Amino acid sequence: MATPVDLDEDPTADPGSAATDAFLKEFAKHQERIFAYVYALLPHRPDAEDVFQRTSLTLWRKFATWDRQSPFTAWAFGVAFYQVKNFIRSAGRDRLRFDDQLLDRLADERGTTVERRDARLAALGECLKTLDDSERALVDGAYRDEENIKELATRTGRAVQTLYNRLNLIRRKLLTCVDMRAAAERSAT
Amino acid sequence: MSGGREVPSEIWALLDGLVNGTLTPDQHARLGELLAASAEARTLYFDYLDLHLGLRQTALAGQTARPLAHLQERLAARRRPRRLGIAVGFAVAAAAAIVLVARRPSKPESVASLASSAAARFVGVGSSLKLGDPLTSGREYALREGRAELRFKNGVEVIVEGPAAFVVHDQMRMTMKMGKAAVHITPGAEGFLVDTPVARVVDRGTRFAIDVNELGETEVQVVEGAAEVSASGGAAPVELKRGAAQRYAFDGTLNATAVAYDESRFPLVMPDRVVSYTVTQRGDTGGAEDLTSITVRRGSQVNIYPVERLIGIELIHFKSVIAGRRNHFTSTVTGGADPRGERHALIDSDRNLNTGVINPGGSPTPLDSDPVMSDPEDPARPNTPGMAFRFRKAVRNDAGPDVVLFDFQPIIQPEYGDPFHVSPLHFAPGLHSHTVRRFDMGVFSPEALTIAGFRLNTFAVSASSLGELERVPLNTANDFTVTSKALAVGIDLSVLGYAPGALVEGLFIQDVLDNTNMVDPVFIAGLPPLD
Repeated sequence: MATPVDLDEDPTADPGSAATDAFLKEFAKHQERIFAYVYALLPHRPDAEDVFQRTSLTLWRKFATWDRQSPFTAWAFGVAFYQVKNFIRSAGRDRLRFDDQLLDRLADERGTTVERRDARLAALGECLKTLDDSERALVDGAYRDEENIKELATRTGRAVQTLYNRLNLIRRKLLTCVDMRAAAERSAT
Repeated sequence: MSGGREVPSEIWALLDGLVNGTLTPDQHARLGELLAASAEARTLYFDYLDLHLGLRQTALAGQTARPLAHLQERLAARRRPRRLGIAVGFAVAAAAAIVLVARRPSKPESVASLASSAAARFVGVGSSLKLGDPLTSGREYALREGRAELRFKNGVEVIVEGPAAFVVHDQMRMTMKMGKAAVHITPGAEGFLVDTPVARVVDRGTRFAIDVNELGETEVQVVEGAAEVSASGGAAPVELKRGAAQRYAFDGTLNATAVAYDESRFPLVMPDRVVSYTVTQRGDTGGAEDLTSITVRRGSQVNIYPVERLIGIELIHFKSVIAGRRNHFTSTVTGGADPRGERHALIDSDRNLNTGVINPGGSPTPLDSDPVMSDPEDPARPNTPGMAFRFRKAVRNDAGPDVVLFDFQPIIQPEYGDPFHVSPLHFAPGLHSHTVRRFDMGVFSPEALTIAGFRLNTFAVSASSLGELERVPLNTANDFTVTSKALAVGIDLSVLGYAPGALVEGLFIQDVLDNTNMVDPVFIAGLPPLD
């Protein structure tokens, strides 16, 4: 059994210390992956951001317990998984949630699919170049501020649903492009 | 379609709704069901979320998407006193995290898992595999029959057809010792290689099939893209393109010859069938009780149906008396007391896989004219042995299976279920009976679930009509304790001669009387029309 630790006595809790620097270095490298992991379990951005923040803090606090023989992400995902569960337990039943069994499964599989992310992100960068100007403008507008697609609709004089439909098609097209490009790039190396 | 994502078409709209933030609670629940039921759906889900996050990251490029500043602020804030509640909360959280961290990495690292099965029967190492289970690297898996779909961590899919023996080494390599397999590689996994006793095949994208006989002689066919093939021992590889086939066989020495391409010999896809089903489990001892969803591949499209969307039935006829046979009693299976007067409900009004009206009568030859279904039975014109049901809404004959039937099968009885005839309620030109000889899964298939224990009721006399089924007195009721599985089979109405799109009101089923075991229906339903 683990013994509760007095966190205020945690020796790593000193901004500017070597331990904190080492932590920030690892964390900076992997934070997008950790967020992607949390988001897959809790696909609602404000919730995912909340859990991500809690996870970050816990990771930093417990940094000394990271066994450097194992990947930082494996450790971080374990911590994040617990934070997700904890969040769901405390957030009440009125929210949209996956059940425990599915969460376990997604958590297990997400750990491995995150590995393909980098190549796919690079491919996405290339695929975005294949969009025409109006498609690109829609993606940029919608994604720069996700909450404001309604404003975007008003500004461009289109129905919100029309914009969503166009966005859906663009994502579908990009996904196909990423699939093919990720293939081509791997076989070239 | 590129990528070969075998996902239900409805998932796309749900994913769009999810990332657009427009998903309703019902849709969210539905997404959860689809994700729970299919590994393909989950892979798509991850890729789609990554795309979504990637777009946001790109749109925000120039600004730091997730600045470290927030963390540094939080670190600085730690110097200030915090509320006690939070401190305790964090302490508990952190302590639990330690436990979790210690536990999770101890899971064995798997390179591939059993993604899907079509009546796959593993013997030896794989005999206890369930859907989704990881395969152990370096072990020999022996697939006696059926098809098994393996999914590697990098997305490579391999369909193996029994009898076959294979070994998975890592996510880029496997050995086919014997048997047939089709390999489909996903973007990024080019170079995936399959060794056989005499050859090595390297997938250059995207699909090839392989057949290894007991001598190790190997035939390779390239279905899509290209593959490099070489005799083992470092011979120079030959590149085969789509539509090419090469055979490595012994004729004094090992020779490579071009052979005719014939993709029909290979397990390129998983068949249309009941892929899997989900249930509620009884207590902690387990055992399936209520059916909650079924996954059916129909016309190469995978559909997941929650039980609520299935078309229920009404039992309209039952006769278990068989001329010239004794000791064949009407029986039902229940979870509790005998529901006399409402016995039909065991098969037509619940979702339970351990209740049903079993042991209908039968006939060695299937019907070729309308069954007689009087109630009460007219002695001058005896009823047809068997059972009939009417769908609560007509079922449309669409691609692939349209009706599902679950049979309970003790694991010591015929492995692939009790054969039965299925017939139209009303014969018309072009319509005929069909005999289902095998269920879509066997008692040892990974997709067949063990059902919770039940009570077997037998009656003092056999029933000749539906009315008698409800009235006959109980003779014995005992708990049935032999491990039993729920086997499912999908029935395509086309096999009865119905035209595509035809609406079917009901069906008649009879045991084939091939042995003393009778078909034991515990759940029957129609599938909703395809979109």
